[in-house]
Amino acid sequence: MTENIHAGFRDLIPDLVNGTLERSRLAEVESHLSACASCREEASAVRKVAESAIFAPRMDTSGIASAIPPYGIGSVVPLRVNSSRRRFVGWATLAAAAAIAFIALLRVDDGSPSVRSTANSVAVSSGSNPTIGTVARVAPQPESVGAEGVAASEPASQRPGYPVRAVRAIALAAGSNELSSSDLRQLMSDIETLDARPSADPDRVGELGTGEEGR
Amino acid sequence: MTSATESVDQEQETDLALIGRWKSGNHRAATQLVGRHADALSRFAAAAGEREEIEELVQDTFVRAFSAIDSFRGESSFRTWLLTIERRLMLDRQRARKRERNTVEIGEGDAVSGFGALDSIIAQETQDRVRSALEALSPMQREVFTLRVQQGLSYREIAAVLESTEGAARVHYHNAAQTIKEMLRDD
Repeated sequence: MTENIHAGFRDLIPDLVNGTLERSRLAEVESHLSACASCREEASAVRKVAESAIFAPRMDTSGIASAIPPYGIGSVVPLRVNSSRRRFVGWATLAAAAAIAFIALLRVDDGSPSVRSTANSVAVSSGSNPTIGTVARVAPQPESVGAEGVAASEPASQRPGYPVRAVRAIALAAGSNELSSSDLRQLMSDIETLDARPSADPDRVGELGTGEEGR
Repeated sequence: MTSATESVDQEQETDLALIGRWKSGNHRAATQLVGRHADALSRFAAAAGEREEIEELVQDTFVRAFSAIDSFRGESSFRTWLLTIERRLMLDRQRARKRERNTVEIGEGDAVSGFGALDSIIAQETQDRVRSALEALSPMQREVFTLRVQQGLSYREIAAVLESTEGAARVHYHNAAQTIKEMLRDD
């Protein structure tokens, strides 16, 4: 019972310290504190903490307000990007640029089957078993690639042998951990033979990677 | 005579009026609201142990609050609502830091911790004892104590900010006050 009385007064100590205690309770609380050493000691401790100098940076009110979107815009959150996020964005941009450059390198060829064969091989395999390993098995068979992936809609390459090797090189790269040393040397050799001539026929570039060819 | 409750109601009413004006296209009303509550948010973040980019945190809090203003029903004060949002953001930050470093502990119901930051927050040497006393609290006790003593929130408001119960807030406060009293006891 006595503890409850103390607890009731202790509840009000922060309000007393902050000057927000209702006047109707003020005299009652002060009277209790004058008679109760324990509660008085607690009030003293709370006051010390309340009056301690907590450093907090002053806020730039107008700067913060300027970031608030107009009503109705919704959950737009134009937050300042901190340094770590900036670094991530930088790396993500670099990675995307590298990927685009790689794709562009493949597409630079004048629409030869080397490119379309690769894309079509992926498309063909994705219909049944969408794994890279499937591509690697399909790719070394030039006839089947030509039949399923290219011949149906496109003429064969003007340079026999080259597309097949390119396909094999790219396809094998997907399972490169299974390659022998000689295969790796062959792969590097094949990559070096890739012809990166600019395309003279931009329409053909658009055919790459639609993913619809094999379905 | 104006009671504390009445003054809170008046302030809330004014906040609601400013919110209404902002919704009508008066952006200056938003600036007024920021001016009214930004420093309190800054103090809470600092006392809770935030040490990095407090202004960014406060701005983030306001942007999120205003972006979701229709979910504010006026059942609590606008400041309480802002503190709730800010606390969630602090927890998000802390979890992100934990993922980054994999060393920072999130203790006691994911309360905000990282109180070592007070090394630079409480500046005066004479207040070392206060700092030590606050450091002795659990993260949850520290938040409750800060909200009660330095923000002047009621237990009901603290419960709203912490998304807990009024009874739990009261227990945490009393335990914190007991520790503070013992730590600051004059020998």
